[in-house]
Amino acid sequence: MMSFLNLAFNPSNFVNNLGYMGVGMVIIIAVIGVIIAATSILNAVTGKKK
Amino acid sequence: MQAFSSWLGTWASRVADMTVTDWVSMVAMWVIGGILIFLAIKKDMEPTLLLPMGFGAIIVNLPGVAAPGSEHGMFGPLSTLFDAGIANELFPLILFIGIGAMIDFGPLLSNPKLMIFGAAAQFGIFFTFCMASMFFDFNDALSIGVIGAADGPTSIVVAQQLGSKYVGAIMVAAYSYMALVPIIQPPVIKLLTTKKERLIRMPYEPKSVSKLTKILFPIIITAVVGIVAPDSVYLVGFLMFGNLIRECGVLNSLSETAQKVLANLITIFLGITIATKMYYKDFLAVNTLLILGLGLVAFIIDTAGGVLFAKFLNLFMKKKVNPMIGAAGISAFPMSGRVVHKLGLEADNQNFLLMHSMAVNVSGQIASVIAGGIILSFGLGAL
Repeated sequence: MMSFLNLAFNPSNFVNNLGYMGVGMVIIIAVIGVIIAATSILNAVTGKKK
Repeated sequence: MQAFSSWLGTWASRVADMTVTDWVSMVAMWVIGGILIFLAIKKDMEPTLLLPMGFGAIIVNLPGVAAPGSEHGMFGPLSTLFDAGIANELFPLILFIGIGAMIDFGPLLSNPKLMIFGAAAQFGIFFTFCMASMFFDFNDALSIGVIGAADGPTSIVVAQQLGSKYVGAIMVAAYSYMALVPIIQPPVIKLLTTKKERLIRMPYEPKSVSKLTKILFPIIITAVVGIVAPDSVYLVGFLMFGNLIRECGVLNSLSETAQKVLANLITIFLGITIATKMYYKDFLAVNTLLILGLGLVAFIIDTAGGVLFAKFLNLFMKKKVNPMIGAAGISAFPMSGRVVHKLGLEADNQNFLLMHSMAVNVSGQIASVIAGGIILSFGLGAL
């Protein structure tokens, strides 16, 4: 029933690609950080003064 | 009688090459289709998608339905729909307009710092990519990782653009696990938090958000993400376009149409069209099982990433956050937000986390699209 394809298994790829994980998380946190800053500035500029 | 024998001859010629294995495989796919329909109707799990997918899975696995000689299955109008709406990513992108129109970013804009949890909960995507890269090609591994975005349209767009061979399994995993969020997340959250942490209350102190902020927010997000990851500009752009229609205040009828008619129409076509990728010859493979397993890993690590990040932040914060809200950073909206709220009430029936968890949940929607864009950029060699 199952078509048993030849599954490659290269454990070294996990370590080799950890760099992508690091870069990806850094970019996403940086972008969200920029968005948080922009939103906070927007709130401050457009918010009603008490 | 002649008509009958003519029909019988045509039918027999279509199924003549089928072996016992083929028949058993087809029956297995009917069972899988039946299970999806059961989960949709009886358990109310993502019925809008699981029901059409289950029904479609049965259609495409009926003997003789696939066009003769097609190894990967050609299914007449269903394949036409696939080419017209999914192969070119049109359906998921149009669906994003509807989703954007449904999302109220108000609670998030009131407390934008919560967005950081949405970013942290994307860790599962990158971790799963590393895991998948041990078994699959680079682009397939990236596409499998995006299951962790907990966002069907993003998964489809990324897998299609990267030319993954496993689009069907990736779609099924993405949508099935989204439906299973109420089952997958609670044990992971409970394992990583103490009772004391789950009892932390977070009073909701809404700050007023101006209409101008609500209008500028989708435009700014699109611009920022478009500059950083141009490949994802359509993903985020369509989502934010839907939100802009909602918030601008002058397109109420368009907003209503996007939220209801448009989203429903695309969802009907999307679910049944995805089923073309559930043809037994493609679907019943060890790779599919592996992808389903990796998808589960992605959801678990996303959840863990969000919770652990919240716990980490608590080390430095005077006003502690309930670490469970980190888990709502996966983009399965609104299930994940509700799961966290329910767990808060389970720990203390006066602990209302809904507004915070929903804010984190919609930030997960934004972060998952950004993560999808980053993954696309990796795959297309732009980063």
